[in-house]
Amino acid sequence: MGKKRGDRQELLPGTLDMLILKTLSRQVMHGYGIAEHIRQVSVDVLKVEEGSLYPALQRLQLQGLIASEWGHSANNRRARYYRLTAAGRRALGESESSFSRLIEAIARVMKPA
Amino acid sequence: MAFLGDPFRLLRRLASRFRSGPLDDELREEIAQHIEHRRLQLIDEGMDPREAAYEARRMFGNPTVVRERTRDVWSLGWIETLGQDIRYALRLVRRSPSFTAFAVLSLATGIGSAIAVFDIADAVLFRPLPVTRPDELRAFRIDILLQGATKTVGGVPEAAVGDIQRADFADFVGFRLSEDVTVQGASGDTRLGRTEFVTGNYFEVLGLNPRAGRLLTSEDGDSTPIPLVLSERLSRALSVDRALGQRIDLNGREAVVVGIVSGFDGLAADRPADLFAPLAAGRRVDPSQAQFAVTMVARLHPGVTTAAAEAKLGTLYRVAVPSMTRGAEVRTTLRDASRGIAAARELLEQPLRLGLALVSCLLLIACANTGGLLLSRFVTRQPEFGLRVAIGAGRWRLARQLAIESLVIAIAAATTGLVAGWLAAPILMRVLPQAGRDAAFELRFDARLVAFALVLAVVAALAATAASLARLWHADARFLMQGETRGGARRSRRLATGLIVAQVSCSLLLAVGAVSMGRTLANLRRVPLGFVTERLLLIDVNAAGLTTEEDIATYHAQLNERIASTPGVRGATMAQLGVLTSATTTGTVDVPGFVPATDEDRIAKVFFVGPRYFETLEMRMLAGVGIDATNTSGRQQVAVVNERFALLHFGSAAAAIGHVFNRDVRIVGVVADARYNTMRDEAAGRVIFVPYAGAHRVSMVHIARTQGDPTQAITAIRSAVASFDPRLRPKFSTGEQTVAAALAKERFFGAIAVVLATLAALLACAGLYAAVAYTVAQRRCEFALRLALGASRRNLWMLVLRDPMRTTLIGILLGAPAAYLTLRSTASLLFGVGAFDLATFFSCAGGLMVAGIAASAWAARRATQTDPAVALRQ
Repeated sequence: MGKKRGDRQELLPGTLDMLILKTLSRQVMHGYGIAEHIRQVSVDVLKVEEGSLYPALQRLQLQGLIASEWGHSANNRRARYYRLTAAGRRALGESESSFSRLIEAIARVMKPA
Repeated sequence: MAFLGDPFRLLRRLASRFRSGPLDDELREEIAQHIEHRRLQLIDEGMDPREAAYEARRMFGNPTVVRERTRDVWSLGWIETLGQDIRYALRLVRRSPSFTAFAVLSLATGIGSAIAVFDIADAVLFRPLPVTRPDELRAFRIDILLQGATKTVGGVPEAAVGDIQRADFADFVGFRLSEDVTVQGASGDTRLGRTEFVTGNYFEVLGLNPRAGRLLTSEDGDSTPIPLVLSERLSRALSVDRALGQRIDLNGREAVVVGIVSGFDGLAADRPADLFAPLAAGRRVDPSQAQFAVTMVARLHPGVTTAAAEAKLGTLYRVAVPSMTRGAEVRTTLRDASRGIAAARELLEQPLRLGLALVSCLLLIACANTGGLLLSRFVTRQPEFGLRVAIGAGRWRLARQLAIESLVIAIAAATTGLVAGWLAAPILMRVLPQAGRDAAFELRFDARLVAFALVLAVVAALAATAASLARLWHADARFLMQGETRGGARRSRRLATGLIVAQVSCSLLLAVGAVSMGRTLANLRRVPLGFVTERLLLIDVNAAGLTTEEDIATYHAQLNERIASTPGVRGATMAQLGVLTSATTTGTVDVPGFVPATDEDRIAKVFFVGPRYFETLEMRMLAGVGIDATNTSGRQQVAVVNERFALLHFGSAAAAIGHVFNRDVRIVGVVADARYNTMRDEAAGRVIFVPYAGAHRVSMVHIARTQGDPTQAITAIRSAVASFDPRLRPKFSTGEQTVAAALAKERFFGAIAVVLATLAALLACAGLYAAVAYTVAQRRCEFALRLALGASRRNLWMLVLRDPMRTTLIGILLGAPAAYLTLRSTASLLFGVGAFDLATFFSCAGGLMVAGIAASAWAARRATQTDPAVALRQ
C-alpha cells in the first residue's frame, strides 16, 4: 500500500473511531460511504486506509456504539448500513469535547505565548 | 515478554483456519461491494475501466488482511488486548519494585493467614472422606440410661458386629484402631504404624479402589499370614510399590501385603491409618485393643430417613448386646460421618470457626491497605488515563487494565501467601487443642487450597481496585488529565481516609480480642484447682489383656507400689481418671432423708481412687481420713465426699463423718472442693471418691508426686514399669502439661488473636505511613512555602499529623462497638473478663493511637526537614 500523495496525513491512533462516529451522526451509511465522506470532508487531507475501516467498524459494533443492518442502496445493490446508537452518540460527545481540549492543549504547547 | 505474545498469534492463526461462517461471508460480500463502489466511482471520475479496477483494489488494501483483522475483533481481539494489559501490568511491576513489594506483602499477610487457618479448618471441619457418596455415611452414638446413670457408646462389642450388619436399612462397616503397631519390612527396618482392623465389607461398602493389588473382602478371615492393605502414605514411605506379596512382620505376627488402597487413610479423620487388616486378625496382633468396642459406620440405604434408622438401630442394638441393655433405656443418635470420625472435631469447631472470622477481618484490612496503595498510585497516574480516554480508549478497557494490574499483584500475593500459610499451618496446628493424646489431622497441599487462594486473590484484587474504579468512572477526561482538582483531591482523600479508618477499626477489634483472651488465660491459670500441679506426673497404664479380670486390681496395686518406690518419687497413687480430664463417671446417690427434686439431684460424680490419693495430690482434708488400705479391706464400703456434698446433706464437714448413703456406703472423710474437669467448673456439684478396687478397670492413671522436676523422673519410672511388665506401654504427662491441655482452646485463641492483632496493627500503621508519606510528597511545595513564610516546624508537625490523628481516632470510635459486639457473641470463651472492659478498651485504643501517631510522624518527618530553598526551586 504505497502513499498516493505526500501531503496526506496519517491518522492519530484512536481518532478513526471518532471520525466514524462523527460521520454516522449525520446519517446512516455503508462502509464505502463512510470512507468517501471522510475523504471528501477533509478535502483529501485525512487519509483513511479504506480497509482499516472494517476492523474499526467491527470494534465499534462490539462496543455497542454503532449498529448495522443489511439494506438496499440507491442503485438497488445489497449493502450493510451502519447507524449510531444512543451510547455511540454519548461517546461521540465525550470524545469530541476531550479531543478539542487535547488539540487546544497541544496548540498552546506548540505556540507558547 | 515474547512468551505471552506468541501463543496469542498462534491461537489466532488456528482460529482463522477453522473459521468460516455467515459472519465471514457477509464481510466478504461487504468488501466486494466496497471495491465495486470505488471502481464505479473512479470510472465516473473518468478513469480507464481497467485501471479503475486496479486502483480500487489498491486503495482498499489487501482484502485478506482486512478480513483477518476484522475477524480478530470478533473473537480473539480480547485475548490480544488481554496480553497487552498483562504485559503492561508486568512492566509497571518492574518499574516500581518497592511499591509492588509493599502491596504484595500487605496482601500476602492477609491471604497467608487465611490460608493457614483454612488449611486446618479444611482438614478438621470441611474435607469429606475420599469415598463414594460420603454424605450417606452416618456414625452412631448410643446412650444407655440405667438407674439415672448414662453410658455412652459409639460402637459395639466384636461379637455383636455380625448382628448389627444384618440390618436391612443400612450397610454397616466396622473398624478398630490400634496405635503403634510394630511394622517390620523384609529389609529389617522397623516403624510404628497405625492400623485399622476392618470388617470384610469395609472397602466394598465405602466404594474404594486399589492402586495396586486388591483390597480386603469378606473372604479374608483370620488367616495366616494376615492379609494387609497399605495406605499410599505408608507404601511411599516403605517404597513397597514392588512389594505386593512381600512378607511383613506385624507385632511379631506374619503378614503379607495384598494391595495398596488409593488415596484413603481410614475412617478416623484425626488418626490417619497406615495399614488395614481383617477385624478377626486384630485379636492376635494387638490383644490390648481386642476387648474394646468396634466403631461402626452406616451407609443408609436410599430412602431411609434418619429417624427411622435410629429407631431400628435401637431395637437391633438391644438384640445384639442384651447384657448391657437389660432393663435400660436405649437412645440412638445418627450423625453425619461424611468427613470421617474424629473426637477432636467437636472441640475444634468453635475455635476454628472463630479463627476463620478473625482472619477474614485481617484479610479485609489487607485489602483496604492494598486498595489504599493502588488508589494513591492511580491518583498519580490520572493524567495518563485522562489522555487515553481523550484519544478514545474505552473505560471498560481502562477498568480492565486496572483490574489486571491489581490481579497481578494479588496473584503474586496469593502465591506468597499460599507458601507462607502452608508453612505456618503446621505451627498453628501444634497449639491446637487436642482431644486425644495425638489427634493428627492431615494437612494437605491440594487443589482445594490452591483454589481457595485463587478465589481470595481475585476477591482481594477486585476489592482493592474498587476504589480506583470508582474514581475512573465518575471522572471525565478533562478532570483526569488535569490530575488533582480541589474537589477530586478531597474525594480521593476521603476514600483513602475511609480505607484507613476501616483498618484501624479492624485492628482495634483484633487487639481487644487478643488482650481479652490473654487476660482470660491469666485468670484461668489463677483459678485454685484444689490440688497441686507442680512436680506431678500422670502415668497412663493400659493393662488390657495382660492379666485376668479378677487380678486386675492386685496388678495395678503392685505396679503402683513399684512406682512409689522408684527413686525420685515421693509418693504415688492411682485413679481411674486423671486430673482435669474431659471424662467423667457419674453414679446415683441415695442419702437417707433427702428427697431428690430432679434427676440431676440423684446424680453425683464418682472417682475411683487408690490409697494415698488425697495426700499425693495434696488435696485438703476438711474432716476424717482419706482412703487407704486400712479402710478398704473390710466388708463395709467407704467413701470420701467433697465439701459441697457434706454441706448440702449434713450441714458441715465434721457432721458428715460416719453417715451412710446408698444403703451401706459409710463416709470416712470430707475433702475440699476442687476443679475436676476444667478450670471453668463453677459449682462442681457433689463428688464421691470410692476405692478403685470396686472399679475393675484395666486402664488406670498412676499418679506420682516427684521430688524434683517431674520430667527428670520419667526415665526411672519407665524402667520401673518395664521391669514390672515389659509389655506395658505407659504414657506420661506432667501436671503442668495437663493444665496446658485443659487450656488448649484458650491458648489456641490467644495465639491466633495475638499474631493477627500484631499483623493488623502493623498493616494499619503501614497504611497510615503510606497515606501521610503520599500527602507530604504532594504538598511539599506548600510546606516549603509555609516554612519560607515563617511557619515554625512545630506548626508543620501539627498540620501534617492532624489528619492521621483524626483518622485513627475515628477508626477507634467505630471499632469499639464492633469489638464489643464480637466479644459479647463469644462471651463463652472469656473468663473473668467482661465484653465491655474499660481497661482493655482504653489500653488497646491507646496503644493503637500511639502506634498510629508514631507511623505518621515517621512519614511526616520529611515534611518538616524540607529545605524551603530546594523544594521551591523544583
